[in-house]
Amino acid sequence: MKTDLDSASVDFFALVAELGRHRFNGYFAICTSGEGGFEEGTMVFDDGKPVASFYEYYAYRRQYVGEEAFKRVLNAFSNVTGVVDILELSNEQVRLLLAFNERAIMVPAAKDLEPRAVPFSQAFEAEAKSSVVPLTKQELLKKYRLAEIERKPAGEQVHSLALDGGDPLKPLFSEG
Amino acid sequence: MVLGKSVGGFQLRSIAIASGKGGVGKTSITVNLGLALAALGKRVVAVDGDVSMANLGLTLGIDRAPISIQNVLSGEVGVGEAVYEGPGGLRYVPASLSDKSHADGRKLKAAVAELEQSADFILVDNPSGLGIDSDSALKSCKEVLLVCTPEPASLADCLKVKKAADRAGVKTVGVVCNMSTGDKSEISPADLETVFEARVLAVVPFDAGVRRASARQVPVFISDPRAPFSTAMLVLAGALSGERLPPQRLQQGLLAGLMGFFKRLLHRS
Repeated sequence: MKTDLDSASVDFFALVAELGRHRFNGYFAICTSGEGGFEEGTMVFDDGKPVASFYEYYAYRRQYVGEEAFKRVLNAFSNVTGVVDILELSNEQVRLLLAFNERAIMVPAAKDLEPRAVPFSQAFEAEAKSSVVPLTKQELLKKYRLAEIERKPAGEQVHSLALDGGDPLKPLFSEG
Repeated sequence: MVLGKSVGGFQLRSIAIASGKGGVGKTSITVNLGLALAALGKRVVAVDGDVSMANLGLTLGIDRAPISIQNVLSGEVGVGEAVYEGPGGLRYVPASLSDKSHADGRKLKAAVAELEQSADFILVDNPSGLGIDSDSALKSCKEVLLVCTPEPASLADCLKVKKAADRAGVKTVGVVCNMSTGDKSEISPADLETVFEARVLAVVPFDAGVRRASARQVPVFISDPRAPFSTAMLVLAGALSGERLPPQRLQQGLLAGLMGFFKRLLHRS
């Protein structure tokens, strides 16, 4: 419907009110740039009412749904730069979307949609970041089946075995 | 750490653009990053360090050059004679499309050092692989910028280049994650940083415009300066040069354009 809107020109509360007046079926999405990378929040509307929220931090591969996502969507509108898309869906598509994403369903209280100033907070991103346990370099190399790269060349391995007092050639001649 | 000669408080930088794997966008990044740095007011020379498979000139739309890096490496001329004025204030040293007879790659380091007298940035487009040519190109610079696509094969090859750079004392300045579609199957920038033990300076979206520009032999930074790829190059140039990008431009579409592009790739194409 409307895409690539500068989020600075879009007021969250006015947008929700306008979509309500038009009994809008569909969703809006806001994409912003956090410290770690791109983030995206989505709010789904059924007959003009916000009914579900999603928020994803792509850098951390962390997604929030429902109320936690709603808070983050609101916060995203206070970020410095962002783009907003508003896209219409059929009533059936909205129902299907909700059926497959039950955990994302949440209807904000009327007071949560009252216009007010919302200061931007980096705490949300910090929380998302801290909730992800990063893999070590070795774990990642193993994950991508690249552990071999870090392995010492065969010559060096034999050498270190010999230094340890072992006999590196013994297995080759072992009968057992 | 001193990386080069200082002119007016600015550190001269010679950066090898390397990846190990072919086809990941080294040449496109060399040329367009060079143009982006030039747009930020830097004096830039892009050098085709791939004497066997010269591509840099083609990317700029130049099919022949009377004097090339091969002439420099064979000792026939000084590197100053092989520098050409390119578009957008970018200067470049092309490689010849003909064979590399008598070219001694070991002389590249001295050539790059000579160029440092007249440039803020020297970007050397490295050959793929880890052969003699790529080794010479890598060692000709003080720093290396690793270009990696977010998949295991590219990561593996790039990691080998980083190890070679570490052994040679060439500092890894950072990583460019190129051709990203934002798909969840891709290796994340955070994982790349962990594996490379270096910062990802730019996540560059896959942009079909780069391929089109390559076919037309006009750098995308010139043909479409607002393209997502061009935007990413400007962000990368800002990160490397320390230059602040104009806030107005950031607000009015630079980052927003990049975000919009990723957003479409991710969900709503």
